[in-house]
This record gives sequence, C-alpha cells and structure tokens, in this order.
Amino acid sequence: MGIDMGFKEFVTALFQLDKDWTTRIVMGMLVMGVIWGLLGVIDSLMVRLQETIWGVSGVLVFTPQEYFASITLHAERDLFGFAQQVIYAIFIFFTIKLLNLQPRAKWLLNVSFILINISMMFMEGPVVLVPNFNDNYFSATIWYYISPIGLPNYSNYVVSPLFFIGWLLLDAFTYMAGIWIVYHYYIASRQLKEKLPVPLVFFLMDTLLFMIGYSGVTAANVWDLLSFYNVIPMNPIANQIAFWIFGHAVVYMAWLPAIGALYLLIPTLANRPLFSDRMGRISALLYLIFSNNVPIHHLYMVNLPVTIKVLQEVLTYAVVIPSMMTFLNLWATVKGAQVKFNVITAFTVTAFTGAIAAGVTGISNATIAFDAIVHNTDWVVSHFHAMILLSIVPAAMAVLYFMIPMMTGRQWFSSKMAWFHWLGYVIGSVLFVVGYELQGLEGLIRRAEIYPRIPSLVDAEVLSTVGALIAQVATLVWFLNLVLTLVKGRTARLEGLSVGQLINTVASSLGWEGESINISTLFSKIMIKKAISSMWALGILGSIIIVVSMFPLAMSGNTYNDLPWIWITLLTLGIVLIAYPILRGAKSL
Amino acid sequence: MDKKEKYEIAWALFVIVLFAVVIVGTLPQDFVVGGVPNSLSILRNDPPSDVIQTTVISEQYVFLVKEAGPVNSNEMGSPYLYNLIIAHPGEWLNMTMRSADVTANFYFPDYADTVVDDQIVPGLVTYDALRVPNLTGPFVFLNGEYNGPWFSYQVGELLVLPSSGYFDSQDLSLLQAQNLRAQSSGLVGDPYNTQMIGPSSQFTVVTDKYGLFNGSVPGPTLITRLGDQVTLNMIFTTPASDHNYLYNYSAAGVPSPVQGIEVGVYAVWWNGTVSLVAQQPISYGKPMIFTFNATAPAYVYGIISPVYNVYNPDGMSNNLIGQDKGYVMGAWGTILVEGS
Repeated sequence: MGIDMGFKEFVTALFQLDKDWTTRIVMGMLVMGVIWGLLGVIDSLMVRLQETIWGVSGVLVFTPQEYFASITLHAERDLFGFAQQVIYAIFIFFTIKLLNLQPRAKWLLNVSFILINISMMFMEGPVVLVPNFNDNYFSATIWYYISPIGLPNYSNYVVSPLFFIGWLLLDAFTYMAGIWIVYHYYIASRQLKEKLPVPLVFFLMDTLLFMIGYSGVTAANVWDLLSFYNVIPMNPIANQIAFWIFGHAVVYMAWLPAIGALYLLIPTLANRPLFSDRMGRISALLYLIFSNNVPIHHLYMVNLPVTIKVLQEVLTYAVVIPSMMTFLNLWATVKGAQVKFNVITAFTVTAFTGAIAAGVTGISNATIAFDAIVHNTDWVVSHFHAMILLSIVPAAMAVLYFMIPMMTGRQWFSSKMAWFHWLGYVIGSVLFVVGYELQGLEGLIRRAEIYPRIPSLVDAEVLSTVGALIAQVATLVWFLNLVLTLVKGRTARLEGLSVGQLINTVASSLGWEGESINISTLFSKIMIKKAISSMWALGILGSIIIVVSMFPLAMSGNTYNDLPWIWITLLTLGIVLIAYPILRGAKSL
Repeated sequence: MDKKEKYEIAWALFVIVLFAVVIVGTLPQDFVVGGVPNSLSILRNDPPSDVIQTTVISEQYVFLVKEAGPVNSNEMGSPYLYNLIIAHPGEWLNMTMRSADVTANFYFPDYADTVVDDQIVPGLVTYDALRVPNLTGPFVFLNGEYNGPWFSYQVGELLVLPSSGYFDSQDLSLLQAQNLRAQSSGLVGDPYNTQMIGPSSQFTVVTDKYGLFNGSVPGPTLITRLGDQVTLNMIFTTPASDHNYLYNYSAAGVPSPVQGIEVGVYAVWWNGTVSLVAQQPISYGKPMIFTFNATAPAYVYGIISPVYNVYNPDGMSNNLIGQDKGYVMGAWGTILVEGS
C-alpha cells in the first residue's frame, strides 16, 4: 500500500468502488477469485509437500484427512472459486463493455456473487472450535465424482452435508449469473445489425456450455443430498454419469474462454483479420454440441456396454475437430505477420502452444485402449494440469494484462515484474507437468500418499514440486504487481478506446483497426416481449429436454438396457436445440 | 465457400481420417478391457484346471479375496483372504469383482505381462481375466481409485507360488532384476513391488510412526531357505498420532493404541491354505519374537486381518460434522522360502 494512501482509499482502489456498478461487481469477483485462487494454491502446496517429503525422507507432514482435504479444496477453490468466478467476471465485463449495453438486473448479479463465495465456505466443511479446535473434518471427497463416497449408509467415510449444500449454491450461482449474461446477449441481439465478433460468440457459447454442463452436476447434487437423508436410494453409476456430464464439460468451460481470448488477441497482435471468420463461428457451434455429451469417456474402465463407450470415443474425438480448425485458423492468421514481443504476446503464444501440447495427451486418454493402461495414474493428472497451466491460465493472464488497465485506468506498475511472472510461470509449469507425466508413466496412481520410495518416482515428485514452487513464486510476483498497479500504477487515458487500441496502448504493441459495435441500449419491456423469437424458444425447449434426460439415466440400473441410449439421445437433442438456435438467435452464426 | 474455408475443411477431414484409423485399429481391444463380461473371452480355450475362480470384494479399505479351482482359499477356516491372492505360474484368474460400499478400483500394474485397471462400482459387477505372471514371487495390486482417507493402505499381493516345491534362486534373481527395471523405466514391470531382504534366517522389522514396516504397504519381502530355523523379530512402535491406523478412538472420543489384535506368522501352502504358525496379542515398544522352521513355500507375517479404525476426537463425529472409519491393514508382508 502506498504510504500516502489511507485504508479507505486502498479499499476503494482495490474494489474499484468509484466505478459503475458492473465494474464494481466484476472487480469484487476478480478480487475474491484471486483470494480463493491463492488459498487453493496453498492447498496444492500442501499436497506437493506431503508427496515430496514422503519421497525424500519417508515422513508424512500432514494427516491423511488433511492431505486428502487439501486435494479436494485445491480443486474446489482453484477451479470454481478462482477460475469459474474469474471467467464469469470476464464475460460479464466484456458483455457490457463490448456490446456497449446499459446493464440490468443488478440484484441478480449481486446475489450470484454472494452465492459463489458462500459456496466455497460451505464446501470446506465444518471447523470444530469446542471443546477442542479441530479442522480434520474438512471435506475429503476430491471433487466428488466417485459416488457414493461421503454418504451415510453407503460409505464409512461420511462428509458433512455442508459440502453438498455448497455445491448447490455453486449451481445456483452458475444459473443465475449465466441467465444474467445470456439475457444481456438477448437484449443486444435484438439491435445488432451485424454478426457478433467471434470472441464474443465464444463468450456466449461458453456461458451456454456452463449452463448445459451444470445440469448433470445439479442433478447429482440434488440426488446426493436426498440420499444423504435417506429420502431416495442412490444408484452410484447413474450419479457418476450425471456428474461427468459436467465433469468433462468443465474442462471446456475453463478452456473455451482461452480460445475466445486467442480469437481476440491473435488477430489483434498480428494486426490482421481472422483467417476464416465463418470457420471460427462453426468451431464455436461444434464445441458447444460436442462438449457436454461425453461423460462416459471418464468411465471407460467401468462395466458399461462397449457400444456406448465406443460412441463416446467417437464423440470425444469429434470435439477435437473444432480445436484443430481453430489451431489452423489462428496459425494461418498470424503466419508471416510481424508481431512485437511483449508480455501479452508471450502469454498468448504460451496459451496457443500449450493447448496443442496438452491436447495431445488428452487425445490419447480419450482412446479406450490407451486409457486401459493409464487410467487413474498421474498421467491423467498431468494432462489436465497441462491444459490448465499451459493454456487456460496463460490466456487468462493475457486477458487480465489488458483488462486490469481497462477497468482501472492504470498502467501496470512494473513491466519487469510482468516479465518475471511470465518466465517463472512458464518454466515452473512445464517442470510441474513433466514431473507428473513421468510419475504416470512409472505407473504411480494419483493421490498416492504412500508410494514406493524409488529414485525415479522421488525425482519426478521433486521435479513437480520445484516447478510448482517456481510457478507459485512467479504468480505471487504478479499478485504483488497487481496490488501495486491498483494503488500506485500510472494513470492511463484509456477511456473511449476500442479493445484493440487499448491492447496496443497497454502492450505498446501493434495498432488495431477494430470495429466498435454501438447499439442502442434502451429497451422497453414491450420490445423485449416481442423479441422472443422461435430460435430462443427452441433453446428453452432444449433445456427442458436436458432436464427430462436425467430421468432415464437415473432409472438405468446397471446400464445394460435401452435407457442409457434414450438418455444420450435426449441429452444430445437438447444440446443441439440450445446450441444452434440460440447462437443463431444471438447473431453468432 | 471461399478458398480459406476449403483449407479448413480439408484439414478437418484429414484429422477425421486419422481418428478413424485409431478408432478402427483399437476397436478389438475395446471389447476386452474395462471390466466388461467379454473380458473373460480369453479364458474360453483354457482348461478349468488352469483357471482360478477369483471373487474380489472391495470395502473401505481392504480387498476380500475368495479363490476356487486350482487354488482354494482357506485362511484358518475362513474362505476369504485379506489383500492376498494365491496362484501359480501359467494360471489365469477369472475375476469377479464387487464393492461392499463405495467405488474402488483393481489395479495390477505388472507391465511385463499385462495391466489390469478396472473400476469397481457399487451395484455393478466387474469382470476380468488376469494372466498370472510366469515368474514366481509377490506382485502388488492396489486400489487405484480414492475411496477415503486410508486409501493408500488398500494394497494387496498376488503371491505366485511355484506349482510344486519352493522358490528357485534363479527366479528370485530374475524377479529382483525385473523389479529394478520397473523402478527405473516407465511402463516396465511392477514398480510397487517392495524391497526384498535375504536370504537369511534372522529378520527384524520395525513399524514407523504410521504403523508400516520399512515405510511401505505391504512391508518388505523376506527370503529364507527351506529347513532354516527362522527368527522374526517384529517391533511395533507405540502409535501416538492420527497418522497411525493403530491409534483408535473410543465412542467417548478418547484415543489409545489398538489392543486385542493378533500379530503372527502364517504358512501359505500351494493349494491356497493359510495356516497358523505362531501368533501373539499385539504389544507395543518391545520385541515380539517368532521362531519357526521354514517348511511351507511362503509365509505371511504381521497383522494379516484388518484393524477397524475410528476417528472420533472428543466424541464429535456424527453425520453433520463428518465421520471417518474403516478397515485398514498396514503392517504385513510375505516371506518366500528358497529351495535347496
């Protein structure tokens, strides 16, 4: 904090309390997201310490409850408290700013913001204060796709019901904030004379993806809570399939904002139009159709009908197609361009190349025959951490490096700190991922608290931990730079600039002849009512079909019957009815 | 459609063709992995005398194993073995797996012969055929799916006994060499196999503060010779923290070291019988000495039945705050007897 700045001014600067209400909520979400993110990083550090110190010296620093709770809370806090909250904040900000809308329904967004942050506290589980302080009742269910763990009468290990209630609050946030975003796209779509820019198409599509994907976990949450209190019996495999509708889609929920950011940043930094605008839009549509109906590829090693597993393998490969189209589109856009190397460019390039490197390991996992060897090993952990650390986070950082000045009107405090952040983050993340891949190829199962203390495994564990520490120190430097920027950053005149011009100013990089979309923002209720078109109605019908699809799944018993086929057909039909009509209705296709 | 879109479509078609090659190429394998009934099709041509009907029941945090056929499991009158499968080279395990409580996994990482990696979901039956390694010795299998705080202790051994007679020194050397390779190269052998000590007739094993011998589950594999008078000295360090599954809470929430459980040495015979050699009630902090004449092909030592662990500090565990209990085995291992 600046010496010349009082506490009140600091809080005002941190939460941007002197700005409009959308910016205030967005900043609140970003600050809370970063706080949960740092807590989640501390959890991950506990995991790394436990595993590494065991390997090096045969000592377990934490109790089993503490260790496994650290894994659970690392997932919950970093994936939802941090990533989902920050993603929603970015969507909300750009929806309003790029569409130049007058935001509505303030209460809906405020309540959503409160819900997601309360949900993180509930998921942590109870902390007992009397007669003796005890924090070993933390939730230790990972992020709970292994039904019926944690349920009384089914499991010896019983988690507090607060955990499931926390999940329901997170579900509520997703739908309330999601509806808020889609509602504003809907308003905008009535006045747009031209198609939405591709990055905004991705932001809308991803919001829809969140809401479709959360249908599965919401069903699982409700079922868990009802079974917890013995209201209805649990069918673990149906519950697991329902969870994985979400559990796989969340990978794309988190990654597609990065793709949207790349569609924004790469043409901007290369100072060129996108190679194929149409194919960018078609990629968005394909992502939405194929991301939510592949839950069973996480359950290949379960006794389910082979035909439905093969169908899931085909559908999983199908979601790679829009990725390959995107890679070609972005590569062809930048090919031959003169690009200045700055921190935003560096993070953008990292996100692009990282997606390819991490995606390759995902394709192998998606192959049933390969999964039969690596299932449950640290290879899988390496894959999804590679996606997160080498693609999703770098893209988010590229966006935040221009979004923070855009929101605050301040330039970054230190470019040297920014460069240190990028370099340390990339080196650390690569070491971390390679260490985990080596562990997986050695056959080490994930979450192994006690594992063979053989040199190759210990070396791999140490490599991952050293990488994690380097990346975490680099991220702390970013956080320090962020705080210093908020309170001491140079004031920049960024008002009225297009996003491209702003990136140019912030990055001192290339100019951008971007189009600004100016639309009327005042609508009467009558206009809105009239605006409900058949396209949007089809989307609502699709949502209903997805809800209905959960019933044949829940009643499918051991799955060797027709009900899983009815479920996957209804689910896919519902997704298609949401995907094409709503993107079309929102002038995205 | 402009030229750029044609490039995109051609590229996408190229990718689709590649994927089609992978899907078709790996399709036959899809029908024999993942615990589906067809996994057992490989057993069709094997004579029943080579196939052990193996039932595995997983519960937090042990595997109960029942064998019938060439091996008939019998542990001092009970048909169930804990965390132990007995077999001979060249045989097959016809495995039927269920869960008594939550989701688990049967993971057999012996890359030299095969890998078995199946989810065991409550309400479903999981099937698989496991080819017993041609090499005699212990091979570790484990629960690959997290199922609660004592997950890391759910580890068992497939103990491959010679079809008759005792362990061959050359085979033991081969096993040791394979273990070393597995511990330094990816996707080779069984990296989980524990340290081998011997041949000797005097052994001392001491539990660490987690209730484990030599910091591994199971403990070290001890090698002795046929006819040797073996002295096995087991020392159980007094458990003093929640790290240790032998540190248990009463209903009132008072912790104390577990009492009343048996520690011993048990002979493992070719036909799957496990018989008592010697056992004593557990005592902490002082040597528990067992002496026996090595006549069986193998032995198991330590605590070979699970300990029921309850975490209940101050009697606060309940369905609102949370509960943590389960069956745990940690201090056990095998002894192999080398023939003359």
